[in-house]
Amino acid sequence: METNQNKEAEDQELRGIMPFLTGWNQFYLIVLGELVLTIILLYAFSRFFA
Amino acid sequence: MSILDWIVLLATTFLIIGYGIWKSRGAKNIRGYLLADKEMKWWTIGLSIMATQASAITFLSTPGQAFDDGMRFVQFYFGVPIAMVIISMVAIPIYHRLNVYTAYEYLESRFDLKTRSFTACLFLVSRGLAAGLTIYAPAIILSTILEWDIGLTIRGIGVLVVFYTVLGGAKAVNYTQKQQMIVILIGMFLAGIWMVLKLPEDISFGSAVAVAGKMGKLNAITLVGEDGNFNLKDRYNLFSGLLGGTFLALSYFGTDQSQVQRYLGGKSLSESRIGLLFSGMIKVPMQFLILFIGVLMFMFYQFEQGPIFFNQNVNQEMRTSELGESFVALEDEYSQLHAEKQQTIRELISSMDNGDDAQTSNITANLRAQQQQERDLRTSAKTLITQHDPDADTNDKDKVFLTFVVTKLPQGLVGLLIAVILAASMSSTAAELNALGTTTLIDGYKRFSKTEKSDRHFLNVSRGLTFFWGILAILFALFANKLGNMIQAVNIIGSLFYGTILGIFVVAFFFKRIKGTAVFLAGIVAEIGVIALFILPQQFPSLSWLDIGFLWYNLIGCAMVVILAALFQKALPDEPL
Repeated sequence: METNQNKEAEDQELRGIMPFLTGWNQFYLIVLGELVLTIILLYAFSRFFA
Repeated sequence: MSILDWIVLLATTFLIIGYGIWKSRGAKNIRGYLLADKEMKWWTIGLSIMATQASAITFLSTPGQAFDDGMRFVQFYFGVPIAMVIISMVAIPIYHRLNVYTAYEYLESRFDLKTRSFTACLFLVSRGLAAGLTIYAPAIILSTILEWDIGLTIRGIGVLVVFYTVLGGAKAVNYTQKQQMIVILIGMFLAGIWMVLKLPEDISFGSAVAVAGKMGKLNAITLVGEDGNFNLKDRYNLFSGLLGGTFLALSYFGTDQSQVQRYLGGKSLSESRIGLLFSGMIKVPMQFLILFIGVLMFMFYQFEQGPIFFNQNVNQEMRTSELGESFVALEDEYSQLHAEKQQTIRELISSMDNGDDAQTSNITANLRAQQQQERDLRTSAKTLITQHDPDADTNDKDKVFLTFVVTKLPQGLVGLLIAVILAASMSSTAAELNALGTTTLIDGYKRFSKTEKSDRHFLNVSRGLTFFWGILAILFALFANKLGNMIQAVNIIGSLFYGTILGIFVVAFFFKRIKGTAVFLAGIVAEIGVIALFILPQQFPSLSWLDIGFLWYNLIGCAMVVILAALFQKALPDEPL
């Protein structure tokens, strides 16, 4: 019960800071997604200018 | 340096320090002094984390690294975002819930006092030695290129850092770091713009970048080493970056108190997490841009004659030495080759503009051959320098950017860039001193204190301990010249300890059945193992196959702790949690 309340409070706080996100997992996916995209772009960059 | 440069340098440095002291005034208890009253916002935490990691050497060496080796160094940072996500998910909630001052404090509640003390000691030894180098490394370069007195430079940087860190604690560190990081980013951006503006009129930015690519400088992603094979010694490829880099980043950001303390000061769990994730998101693009500045500098020097060796004082000395004739002959040959290379680059651009692929690849091959000749001439110059002075430092990668700053940038911008380097040096050192003082107080003095003492007492002791570590760092930096080869050992000492520390935390977070004594013994054995792995190949040539890139020590140390702790746990009689 208490854990659920804590989680809810944390999620509320996240929404206050980042209104477009509804949970931490979405944030983690954005960070990892950005890394994957960066690697793909850098690979394309390396190949293009090689 | 001109008077304008001195004004910019001193004004930038003292305004930042003054701002930090003003914002951190009135710390009344250790919570305020060590954890910045837990009122930091995520952007302050994020910038502070970045400023702690980015030492002066980052800004001095990284452009030089790209100048010399291209952009593949960026892969070293691929593990950072992955580590940030793992730390946000696992470590930060625990640290916040237990309301700890140091990461090691958690280990006592999870294991026992001996494991906490052992881990704190590993941190104090590695970080305590490194703090001196964080001051020494930029000071030696600044004094070489600007002809400043080395002792005075070390004392100058050291005294300023110790002053504001002792006075304002974590709050002063965080607030100054935010401003320092902003100045660093502005300075580097302006330097990059200046390089583009100073390209010859007939060479566009696009053409310059295309030529850099043809010269092998835009190799941001590499799957194998330079010899075409996968090699464990090769530090900068996609695999070592993702795997080795993740373990290094996990150890550094998750268990090194100089970083942990930055996000422990967060106003809430969310602020700490977002600050850490934010710094993880911009780390790789930021490193890419710094390396790209190095590539622009490389292009700049394709059209403007650079020195054969990036230390004009050494060049001057060589010209008048017993090897002067040979050295001047090399310099002449270098100049002639430079003129020929400029012609080849213009032919290449024209060929690329005409879309003639066959001709482009012929000219590229020719250009690469000239590039190799140029490298050979630089190597010959370094050989002569070593012949003249066997103790001479022939690694000029660290000096390329500063030489460019001092000789090519306009008045005012030179002062700003030197302020950038000093800011980077002070921001890392301040976080280290702050963390060393905190760990010594919380995991040492306060933990073993037999009698009840007031908060005021601990605040004063904390200031005293930070001062003690600051003086030790300055003394270490002053005597670093006499350490010779020890410097290199100290440089990688972090990697010798990080793996073990990470392993202990991994067991704490993920292996609930393993208890204190097992992990404590595993930590000791793993640490001995990693040190042996480092020393043995150097002492015994027959064991050279054990010589691997130090990035892997983190992974090996961590894996050894986890495996040994599990084995010891099975062998040892059960102990209560």
